[in-house]
Amino acid sequence: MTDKEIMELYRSGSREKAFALLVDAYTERLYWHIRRFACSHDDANDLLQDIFIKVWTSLPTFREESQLFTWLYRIATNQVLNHLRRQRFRSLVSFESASLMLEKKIDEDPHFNGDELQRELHKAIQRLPEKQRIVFCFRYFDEMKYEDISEITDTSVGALKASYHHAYNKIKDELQKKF
Amino acid sequence: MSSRNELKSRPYSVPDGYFDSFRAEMSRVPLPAHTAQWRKAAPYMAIAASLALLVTAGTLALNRFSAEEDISQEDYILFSDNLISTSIYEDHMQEQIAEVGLMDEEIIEYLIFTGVSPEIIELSK
Repeated sequence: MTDKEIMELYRSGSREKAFALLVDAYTERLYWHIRRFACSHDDANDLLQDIFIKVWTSLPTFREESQLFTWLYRIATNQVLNHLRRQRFRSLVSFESASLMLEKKIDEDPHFNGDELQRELHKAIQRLPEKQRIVFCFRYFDEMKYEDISEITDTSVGALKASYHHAYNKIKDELQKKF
Repeated sequence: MSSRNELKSRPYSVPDGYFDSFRAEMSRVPLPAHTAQWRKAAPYMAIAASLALLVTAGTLALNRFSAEEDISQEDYILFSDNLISTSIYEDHMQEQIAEVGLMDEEIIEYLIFTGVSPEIIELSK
């Protein structure tokens, strides 16, 4: 079923059914999107559930001016950003470094099956500022168009290109120092 | 980095049957009723109101304290130099926050809701 058909079903009054179809269609895509930021399967699982609840409560406000796909990614990305901020605030209270906590999660994750270079790459991503982290993942891994990232993050294409450039160079430098 | 395609592959796995069990779990999650936007903001507005009340009470207390003292501006500057910056105000705020019973998590949720960035807090430390 297409996004358009799901929304038509929703508007016709079969809201729960439309939502179930939306969950079916987007569970995997959104999971892999948030997994890079969550650093553990358990956190990604909790986040994904929160995202779908948020999607359900926000559906009445979806005006279909943007594509369903970008709208969902925007909600997911905002939830991810809030999750990262929550961790930073908690780290301020507990005097622990948020990025070190995330790097530790990567080391302890039983579902991480990459090699050392990939491990260091994903750790280096956690050391980037929030927005650079988001842009880097969208662009480097998903190869998403800047125009789509711009719609999702509500940031200009120029600013995104600059953020990606900084993030890419920082990570490249870090990896070159280690390998 | 750009030529290393294996770096772009996912270095993660999920437990067997995870996506199917997630979908099944989501279908059992009780979905909240669709509510008006202002209702969602109500708890944060309550926290904002509590903090605003504390600030107002603190400011009034400080104003009253300084109004009772009829001192010249010169004396005031000398007096200010001997005070640890905002100590009275901060102590008052800490006591009031403890009385209201705001938890760290509630404050964190409020900061996130209002869009305060952790960097701003880090810079002000």
